[in-house]
Formats: sequence, C-alpha cells, structure tokens
Amino acid sequence: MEQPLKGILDSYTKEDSHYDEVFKESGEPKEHYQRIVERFNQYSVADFERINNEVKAAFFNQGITFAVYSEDKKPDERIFPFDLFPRIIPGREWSQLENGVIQRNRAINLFLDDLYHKKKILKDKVVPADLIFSSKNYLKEMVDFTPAGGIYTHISGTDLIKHTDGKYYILEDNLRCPSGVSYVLSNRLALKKSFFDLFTKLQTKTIYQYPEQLLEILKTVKPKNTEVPTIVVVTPGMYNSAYFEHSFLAQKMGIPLVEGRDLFVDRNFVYMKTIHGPTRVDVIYRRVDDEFIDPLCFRKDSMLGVPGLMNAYRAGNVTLANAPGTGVADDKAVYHYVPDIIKYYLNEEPILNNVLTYHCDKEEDCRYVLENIDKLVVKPVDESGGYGITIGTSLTKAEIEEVKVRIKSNPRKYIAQPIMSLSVHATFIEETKEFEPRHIDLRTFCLMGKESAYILKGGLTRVALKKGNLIVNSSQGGGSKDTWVLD
Amino acid sequence: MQEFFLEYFIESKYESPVKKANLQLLVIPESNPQTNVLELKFQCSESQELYSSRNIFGFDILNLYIGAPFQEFWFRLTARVQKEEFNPFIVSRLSPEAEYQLIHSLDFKIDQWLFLQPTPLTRLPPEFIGIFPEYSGKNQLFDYLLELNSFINQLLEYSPESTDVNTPIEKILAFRQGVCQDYAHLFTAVCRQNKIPARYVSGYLNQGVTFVGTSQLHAWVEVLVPETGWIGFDSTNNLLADHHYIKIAHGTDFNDCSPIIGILESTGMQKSIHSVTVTNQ
Amino acid sequence: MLSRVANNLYWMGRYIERAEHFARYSRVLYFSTLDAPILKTYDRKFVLESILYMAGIFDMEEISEKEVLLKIGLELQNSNSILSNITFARENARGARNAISTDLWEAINKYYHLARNYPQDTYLTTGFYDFTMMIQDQTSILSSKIYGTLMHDGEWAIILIGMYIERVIQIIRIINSKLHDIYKIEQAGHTVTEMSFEWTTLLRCVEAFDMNRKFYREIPDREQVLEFLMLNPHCPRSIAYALNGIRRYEEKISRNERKDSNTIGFNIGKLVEQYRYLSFDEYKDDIYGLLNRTHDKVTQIGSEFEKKYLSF
Repeated sequence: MEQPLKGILDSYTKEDSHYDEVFKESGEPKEHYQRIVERFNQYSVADFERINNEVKAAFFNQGITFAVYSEDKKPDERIFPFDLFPRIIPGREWSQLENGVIQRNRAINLFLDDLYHKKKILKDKVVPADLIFSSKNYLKEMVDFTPAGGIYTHISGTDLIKHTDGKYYILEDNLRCPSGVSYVLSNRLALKKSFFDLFTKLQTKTIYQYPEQLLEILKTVKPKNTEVPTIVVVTPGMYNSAYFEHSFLAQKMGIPLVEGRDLFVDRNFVYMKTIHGPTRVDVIYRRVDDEFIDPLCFRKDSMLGVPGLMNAYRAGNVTLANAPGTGVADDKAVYHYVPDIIKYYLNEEPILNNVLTYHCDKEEDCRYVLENIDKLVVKPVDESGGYGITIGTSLTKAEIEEVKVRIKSNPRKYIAQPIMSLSVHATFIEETKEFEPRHIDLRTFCLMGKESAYILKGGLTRVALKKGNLIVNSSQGGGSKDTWVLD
Repeated sequence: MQEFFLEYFIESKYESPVKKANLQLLVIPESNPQTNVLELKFQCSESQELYSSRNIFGFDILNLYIGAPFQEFWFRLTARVQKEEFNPFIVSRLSPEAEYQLIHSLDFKIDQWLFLQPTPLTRLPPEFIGIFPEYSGKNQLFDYLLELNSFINQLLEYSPESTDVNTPIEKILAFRQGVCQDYAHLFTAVCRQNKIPARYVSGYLNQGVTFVGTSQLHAWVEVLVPETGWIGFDSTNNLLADHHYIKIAHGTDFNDCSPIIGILESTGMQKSIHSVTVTNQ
Repeated sequence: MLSRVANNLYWMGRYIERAEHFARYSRVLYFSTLDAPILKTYDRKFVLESILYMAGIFDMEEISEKEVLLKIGLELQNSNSILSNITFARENARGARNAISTDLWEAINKYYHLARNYPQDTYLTTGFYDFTMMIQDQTSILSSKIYGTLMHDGEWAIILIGMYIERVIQIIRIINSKLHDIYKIEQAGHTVTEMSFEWTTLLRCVEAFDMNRKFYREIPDREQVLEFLMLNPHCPRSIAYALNGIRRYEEKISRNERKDSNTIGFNIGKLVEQYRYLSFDEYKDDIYGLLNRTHDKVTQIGSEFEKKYLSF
C-alpha cells in the first residue's frame, strides 16, 4: 500500500494549555480551516519556503520595510515579519465582534463629547472626575469645542484577544493614531498572489474599500463653507517607522502626503506650499501625536508640527482626524470604565467584554485578590505606562506578601485581572521549517464619520513569533498574519 | 470713571535672518463690565496684517505669519481705556459653612476643574504645604484669601533679577525671592492646594501710583468666591485688584498668558526690548 | 504639487543622472585604458586620478587601486560615490513616494537594494564591469518607468528638468576631465591615430560613440567630437540637446508666464539659442571658457529654479 504523503501541517504539535484557533482537541482542523489545511498539506516544505521567500522579496522591493540602525552607519532594512497562514474568522463570530467594536466606539465618542462639554458622566459619578482631570491627555484646548460633525475618533483600532474559554475580550482601545492597516492590505495582496485558488473556494470578505471609506469619512467632517475639501495626510516624515503606512494611505486615497513643514497657518487658515503658491487645506488626517502638532500650542520644540494649527482648528477652518485629546479615553485607567460608559450613554449591555476586573475596594473582590495574587495581574488604577503592575506568576513569595501589604493599606488604589492567555495559531517558523503554535491577538479598524461608520472586515492579526511569548508588538519581534472573514 | 493710556512695545533684533516666523501676542486689554476699551491701535514692522483669533479662554490674540526672511521685528500697541471705580471689598457674605460646602461639592469641582488642577508652575511642593495658612471653612473664604495675600507678600522679597518665568516654585520658596509672576504662581498654588479655584491673570498696572513692577506687564490672581465671582488678589503689592488693574487675560498659569510667543526658524541669538507704560489721563 | 515633493523629484532626477554618468565614465576609462595604444602615459595612477577627479576627490596621494574603486563605488562615507548617489536618489523618491507611480518607486527601490547589497568582494575582483553596467541597465529601466508610468505633467517635468540640468553639468565635467588628459598626452607628442583613440574614449564616456560614427562616418578628431558633444541638437548626449530639454520642461512648469528678462525661462531660452547658432570656429580657441560659462549659467538656472519652485 502506498504511504500517504506527509503534509507540512502533520508535524504540528498542539499545546493544550491554550486555545488553538486552527485545530480541535482531536487534532482535526476546525471546519472553517479545513480547506486551507488541506491546501497547505499539498505543499512540500521546499514549496512553502519558496513561496515564503517570494513574498518576502516582494515586500522588500515594495519598500514595506523599517530601518534598523547599527554602528557601521549603513542602516539595515528589514521587512515586518509576515506569516502566510491566514487567521480565519467565521462570519457569525465576526458579526458579533463587529457589532461589539462599533458599539464600543460609539459610546467612546459620546463619552469624549461629554467630557469636553457638560461632563455629565463625571457629575453622575460613573467615572471618577479626578481620573479624567489628572490625565495629561485631557486637553484644555478641547474644552467646549465641538469638532466638525461631532466626531472625535474618526479612526480607532480596538485590540482583542481570544482567551482559553474561546471568547473575545477587549485588550485596549487605540484612539490616537492606530497604525497597521497598510499591512492588512499588503498582506492580503500577497496572499491573493500566492494562494489565488483558495480565494475562489472560500468566500472571504474584501477589505479593499478601506482607503475609499476613509476618504469618504474624512469628507463627511469637512469644515463648514467648504464645497470640495482638500484633504491631506500629515506624516512626521520618512524616518518615522510608520512612514510606509502614511504614504500608502495617501497614495490609495489619492491625496497629498504632507509634512508639518509643508504647511503654514495664516489668518486662521491652513495652507500647503505648492510650486504654484499656497493651497488651502481643509481636512487633515494627521499621523503626528497631539503634543507635536502645534508648537505654538503644545510642545515648543516640536519640529513636526504647524504653528497656529490649533487656532485654525478652533476657528473651525480645518478638521483634524482624530481630534486632539482623544487619548484621555484610551487611558489604561479609563479602560475599566468602558463597559459602564457603554451602559451610561447607549443604555445597552456591552457586546464585547473587557478582561474581568476585580476592584479591590469591593470587599468580596479584595478577598479573592489577596488569596490569588499568584494567578492575577495587579494594577494600580491611577498609574499609567505599566508602572506598578505585578504579574502573579513571576512573583516570589516575599514579593507576594509585599503586594498584599500594599493592597491592604489602600484597597481603593488597586484592581486585579486574571492573567489572560492569548489564543495560539499555527505559524510557519523559518528556523525549524515547521508550523508551530504562536500567540496572536487582533487589531480591528473602525471608522466613524458624521452619521456613518465602517469597520474593516478583517484586521491585523499580530503574532508573537518567539515561542511562548505573549507580546505581539512589532517592536518586540512580533509579526502579522492576514485575517480572513468568511461570509 | 478713570481713563488710562496704555502702551506695549517690543522690539527684537536677530543675529542672523529669521527664515519664517509665527508670532502670537496676548496684550490687548480685555473689555469687561468695569473696563471700556475706547481706542485700540497696533502696528508692527511687517507689512502683513496682524490677524486675531480667540484663545481657549476666550481672549483675543494677535497673530502674525511672516513667510519672508527678516532680521528685525517690532510691535506697538496703544490703547485708551476707561475704568469704572469700584470697591473690591464688597463681597457676598455667605456663611463660612455654606461656602465651604459649595466649594467641596462635586459639581463645583467639575465645573472649575481647570483652575483647581495644579500645573507644573503651580504645584505646591509637599514639604512646603505646612507653612501656609490652611482654608478650613471656619472663616469666610474672602477673609482667608486676604490673610493669604499678605502672608505671601510678607514671605517673598521682591527681586527683579532673581527669577525668570520658568523658575520652579521650589526655588522661589527656597530663596524667598521673586517677581510678580512668582507671587501669582505661589498664590495660585496655595489656593489649588486648598481646593479653591484660582487663575493666573496678566495685565497692565497703572504706574501713576508707585506700585512694584510697573515697567513690565503685571501679574495677579483671580479667585472664585461663591456668590460674588472672581476677585483679583495682588500679593506682590498686598492689594486687591481695583480700577488700577487693567486685565489682559487669565489662564491656568503664566504659559496661558505669555504676552508674546514666537516659533521662529532661525539660528543665532536674539535681543529683545520690552516696555510698558500706563498713564492716568 | 507640494514644493517639498517637487524638490524631492528634482533631486531624484539629478542623482539618478549623476550616478549613471559617473558609473559609465569610470567603467569606460578604467577598461579602455587596459589596451590603450599609448601605454606609457597610461600608468594606472593617471587613470585613477582621472576617475577621482570626476568624483571630486583631488587630494589622494599613494592610493591603491582597490581603495579608489571602493571610494568611488560602494563607500557611503564618500557622498560622491555611486552608491551614495543611488541612496540619495532613493531617499528623494521615498520622500516623493506619493507623487510617483508604484512602478517607478519599486524600480528605484529595487535598484537601491541591488547596489546596496552588491557584494564588496565581487565588486573588487571581477564585478566592477558588471556593477557599473548594472547601474546603466537600472537607469534605463527607470527612464522607461519615468516615461511610461507617470502622467506627462508637472511631476514628470520636474524630474526631467533635474535630469537634464545634471546631464549638462556631467557632460561638461566629463569633457573637461578628458580634455585635461588629452592635453597631457599631446604635450608628450603623439600621432593622429593615437589621438583618435582618446577622442573615441571621450565619446564612449558619454555613450555617444555609435551615434557619432553614424553621423560623421570618419575617424573621430578634436573638432568633430567637440562639435558633436556640444552642439549637435539630435544627439541626446550633447549639451545642446540637454539645454533644449531644460527649456522644454521648464515651460511645462512656468506655464505661459511671460519671459521677461531675467526670468528662468528667459535665461534658459537665451542659452539654448546661443548654442543653436554657434559654430565650432567661433569657440575653438576658447573651449574651456565656453564650457565653464555654460556650467555657471546652468548652475545659476538650477538655483533660480530651486528658489522659485522648490523651496518650502
């Protein structure tokens, strides 16, 4: 009898301690992965490596790279690591996720509007006032100002994970300049070229409208008295690590990519310097952080900004996307209140859960936390930037006792969360030439305009390429995967 | 009614040409129920027109964008202002308890947050908190503020050369020396420490009377006294702001009230001369 | 078009052109002299000095052949090296990424990576010819992308203005450099045949040898070569042709602006017309003078153009 050919996925070893996206406990692929597993198993390792190398070379030539500076002065360029095995999300699972993300962002937008106007949610004690006023991202420059169309977060990137229970949880909200969408689009293009036949078999939702949708959204928030708005993307410049994305989006939207030094403000209007003189700019999709956008208003040493931009903005002559000051709502401390924020403004139950949080000021929670510190992440509520966080599994006995003392001395100051386990996904590892389980998360992209919302049907699946690593950020050796949403 | 003539003048010379510049001037006297601006003129060395915009506290700023190289810049503002004479000591007399309660209510704190939140220039270092009188609600807020006004006036010695606008409060308290900005920042810091809304004010001070700090713009503090409104305290002179005080703007601290801010594309040094004159006509 | 982007495009054009001229000049000079009839004068030092002169390096005593090749080719510390020029071209393209086609961008990016990753060992042993030919081939690809994948409007015209300004400057430098060599050889006293080899080399240095043969059908000599490289309006490697190019594309940018005296259009037009109605006899005794004046005028036109359109 002839031996069946060994498929490249046959050597895959499941890790039972984590939720596996691709394989069931029996080792069989899940239904929505069957086709692709079959297809991949037709490749030899050599075939797969060849395709992998072709895709990498294509990314390299397209300039989807970032520079690594070393001592010999020749900067090395590297592509962002990319894995060919797509993450697949079944249609039903996706629509719940989509509704949840839109719900969350609608509520956050209402929250921002309230924070910068009536502050009702603070007066009703749903969110502690001190938490907001002490945040450096709560900008006095935005108080009592209403952005065009009432929109603050035109573009948001909500990060989700799937826990061992198979449910999605919100990891964080990114409301400033979330990046990554250009990789989503480039990844898709690469996969279409390499596995075109799979697309004909699986009904994968397209993501190609994203740049057009973004442009449409930006048009909806044009300043008053503008007929056809001039829209631009503002980048910190080509040495910024996300420059590829900035130029990619500008290119796909067919609008100019400008730097702060291309713009100036005169008579409260913004102009860009063209070879035939100044041209007025009406809408700015800026990829420069709040504190750098206007040296007259924020950081005086900023070389990336446009002096007077905030005056033009507050005069209603230009729209900024996202609005300045949205960072107050994606603060770690505010995260815990988002489910309450959803209930408060929308009178709805949150569709997507936050990671379970124990508030130590509640007696019952506090008792649980004190007994289970070794299994929990303990965070002070009023600190940001990871300061004061302890992860139970990495604490010594003495340290656990220290944490207990700290919590007991001021229980109001602490919250705790279970250590979340990110789901794993089969990923091609170049060193071993095998597929191995690696942790993943998902960044979604949501657009909000005046009376319109759009969510990219897919997203950036970030994968921690180091074995056992939970950190998916590209700065920490993370890569990405294409994300297919099925009908 | 008193009439004043104001002049603000600044001249800057640059070692090497400035390629381009954005300038913002916050020097126009505010029109308010006690202040009637009768005449306002401004001129500058550039041929472009100055244009105005509103800052976040609602004050008019003059802006200028200079797109061509220059090496010298001057600006002059002149104004004729009519001030109503009034007695700042007439305040509402709510009971101390009622005042205290109101100030400590959540809604009040939320509505006044901007002037309650310490800024880097108005954060009282913990080791110095104890030296200042505390607002406990036993006495009237206004009385407490008068006490604080003279306390700070006594505490610091007026010394023009000792500090600049960026001198931290620690240093001012360590050397007990300062200029009007420092008095104002300290007063503001103590108020905010005691949860009393206080705002930094910049303006012109009538030179006809021999006050301290009159050749430059002056700085004082406005405090929100429930039922009465914002009252001006000048701890540099241990006085209350009356018709001799012509306000330009207020904000959370000096940085919101800086008379001139410029973002220049230039290398090399600059030399500036300011002058302020206020005359009673 | 943003002034900054125009600035990027202009310099991208200049650096592409500069890298190509420099690569070809170095290759032609290096290889043609291997079997030159006047071997005596052609000790290697002479050739290497000539190549260094083009690279703007004048103070190299006791330099080894390898060092010279490295310095002019792959050294990034030398801002005149071929690789530096390509790096600058690509950085400018990156800054103007949105103004150019994906095709052109990917071609220039690929070009950069080819040069950047060219193995140094190969380059120094067997690869110098291959490397410099690669530069020429990649430049041809870029030219075709510039012509074939960009709208023939502003962006395109700016790139071409940059390329033609650079071409005039490079041709002048190459003629100057070669005349300098030829003068030295003439001083030593050589035959007409031997000299024709030198004139042929000059033609090859600007890729004009075949065109020249087709046009004159005679063995090249001084008058014929200098007339051809300076005045022939149909030879794309002549000064006259490149000046015409500057004028043609400058008009696309200035649109129908009046050409009052001292406008850029006026100055370039004047120069074009001067070359159009010039005969060799008129300037044969003042070749250096004419070349230097033309160089200065074109440099002047370049900086006026930058000031008017490209500053931000």
